Amino acid sequence: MKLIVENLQKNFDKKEVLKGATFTFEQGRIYGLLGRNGAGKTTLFNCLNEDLPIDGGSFCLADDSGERRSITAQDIGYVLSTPVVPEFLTAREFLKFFLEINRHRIVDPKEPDAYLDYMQIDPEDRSKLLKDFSHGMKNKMQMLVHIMADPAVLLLDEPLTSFDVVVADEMKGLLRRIKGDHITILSTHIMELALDLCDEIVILNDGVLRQVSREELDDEDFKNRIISALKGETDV
Amino acid sequence: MFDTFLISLRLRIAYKINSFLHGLKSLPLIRRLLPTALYDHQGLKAAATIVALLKEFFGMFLGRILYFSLMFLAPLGIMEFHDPAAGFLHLLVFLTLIGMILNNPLFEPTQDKYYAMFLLQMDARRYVVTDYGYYLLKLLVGFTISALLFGWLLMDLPVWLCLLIPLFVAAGKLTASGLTLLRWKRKGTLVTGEKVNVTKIAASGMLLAAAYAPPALGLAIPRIVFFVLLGLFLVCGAVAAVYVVRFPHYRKVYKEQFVANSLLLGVENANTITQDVYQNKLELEVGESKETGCAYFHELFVRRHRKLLTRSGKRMTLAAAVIMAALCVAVTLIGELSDSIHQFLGNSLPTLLIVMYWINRGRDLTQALFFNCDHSMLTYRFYRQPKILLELFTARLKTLIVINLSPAAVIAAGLPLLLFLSGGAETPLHYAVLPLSILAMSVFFSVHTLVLYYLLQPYNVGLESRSHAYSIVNTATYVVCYFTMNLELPTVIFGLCVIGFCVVYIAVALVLAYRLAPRTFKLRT
Repeated sequence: MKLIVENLQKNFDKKEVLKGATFTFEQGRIYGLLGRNGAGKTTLFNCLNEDLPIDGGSFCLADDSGERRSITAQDIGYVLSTPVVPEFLTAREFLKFFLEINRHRIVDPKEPDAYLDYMQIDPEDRSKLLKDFSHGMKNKMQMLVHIMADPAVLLLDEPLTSFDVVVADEMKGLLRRIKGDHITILSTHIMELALDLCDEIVILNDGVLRQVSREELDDEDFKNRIISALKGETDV
Repeated sequence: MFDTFLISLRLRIAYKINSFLHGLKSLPLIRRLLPTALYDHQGLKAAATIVALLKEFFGMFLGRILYFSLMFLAPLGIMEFHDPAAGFLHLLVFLTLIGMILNNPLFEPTQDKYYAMFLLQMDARRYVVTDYGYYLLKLLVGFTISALLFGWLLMDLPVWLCLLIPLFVAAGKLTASGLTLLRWKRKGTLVTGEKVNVTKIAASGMLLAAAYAPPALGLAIPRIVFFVLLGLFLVCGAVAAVYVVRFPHYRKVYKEQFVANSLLLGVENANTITQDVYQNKLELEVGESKETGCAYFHELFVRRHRKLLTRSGKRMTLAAAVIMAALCVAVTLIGELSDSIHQFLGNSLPTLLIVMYWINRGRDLTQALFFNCDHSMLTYRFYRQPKILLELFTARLKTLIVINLSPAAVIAAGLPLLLFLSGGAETPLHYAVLPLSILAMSVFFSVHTLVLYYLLQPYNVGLESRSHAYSIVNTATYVVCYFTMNLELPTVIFGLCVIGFCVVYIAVALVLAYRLAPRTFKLRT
């Protein structure tokens, strides 16, 4: 499976944020999307998630034989940087509702507790209202429902920043384990996270997407190359 | 000092101009006519500057004119007080004392002060003193004009006495400010108009009673009290003025104020506070639900908001039943009341529109829905599928209609009974129109509130309101209900019109909601 983005354009009034972004993201790889503040990373995610109408270009999925199809709601899982969960439900109830609504597309559904075990959420927390969950726990729940839905494309906006180091490490492990089943794109400002977790680095600069190839570079040189690319200094 | 004044004035005007332009930009239709580089557009900026300056100028008088009209002229007129001049002075003394307690802008933590002192790092003492001086100057000018207008022209007070009024008020304010600073220095706490404080409320309540109770009984304090207080305020005010100007700790005091009002701790908006209020109303109860899917989700929502929704509906039903029963008994016992109720039921059905408006629990429901549920759920794609959205819309509409219908049903049953007991109707149609129009109004308000919520959802994911259309339509609804209240129309005619209107409106609104909600019910970007 591939996510093909072609000549994507998005303007806000007269300001062009995406100026024909083109890239092909492949299943089984984690892409680190880097860009300076205001470069349009969240805009790109919002466009792919159809939260914002696009002004030009297209994006679609293509299967291994190259046959293209348009993206549906079920193809995208968008994990926001600020976790949002229904405050009036408990963790267990939220999962029950989610499983019932999505029963037709979840292959081999399990009981809510099985998923909560998988996410290492303590049994005593499972009957608490989600409003009383900590920031990190809410983030875990948000990540969990997106993983349960098994979308073709996982968009992660600044993930892991709200987790403590132990949970962040767990989450990194989780993302590595499930990456084979998804096209994973994560946006981040943290270079170390991008280098540690991502298979590819993609820069969003001046409204277009460019891959920074590692070639034979060591970490330090690769970092420098990324920074020059972010500054728009070099061809990469 | 004058430089500081000019800077702070320019800052305040700039703040007002940009707020005005921001407000314009969020209005539907008008927004499309505005240029992209709104805040740089010279013509618009000039227009906004004129608006801001005019507001600043007329603001000096408008508030005071309203103050004198509503707090002085109207009550004295209603009481038919024998000596308007004495009554005027009596009210002035007590209301100024209340103003000293409740309205003290020296320490009001407003956004423009935050920008000036903390973001722009202006000298706090200079800034606060000039800002306060400017406030007192506006107060003096505003009070001079309005006191002459009301005191001299309308209340027959001598001109020289009217000219003392602004001095009295300004010296009173200064005295109160001096006392506040003194208290801060001694106890380390600030008592300003921002915090709810039992002592202050009690004192203000007593002063309010002292202001209005004696004139209602035909009494007023002698003029000498005003002069004694004036003398006292002038002396204390002069000392306080020196103290206010020299006080070195403004920055510290304001910092405490801003922290207490969470302005310094990241920009929390009012909606975040509203959300906290709604989340604290959630009740976790243990109980199994037999429902599945959307019905399960909705049932849990209603159960967790029992106090806010169903319980308050039940209380309202009970209150309606008690009032109706009491009216029925009263009508059979008191002949005069019976006549006026009969007349009321004959031509004052429009009044009941505002009653039905107040009974409607829709606002509570939509607020709770947004802050405790939809603001988060709308970020999930699966929740935004038309099927789910509309299934939940239907379930919510049913719940709201049921909650609203229970007090409405009591009123709908009580009114024909009252009509019968107070002398009966000329046509049997009257008996049918009364309850049907009440029920129609009830369903109308339920549909209206929820459809608006689905069609004009105004918030973004950060809980900031991004559209004024929602509040404009809500205000317009209230204004229409309010003005209809004073209409006197034959019940049968008005009732039939209301029923007809409600049926058409409900049909149109539901068609619109089912067609458009999947597109309109989302978080704004």
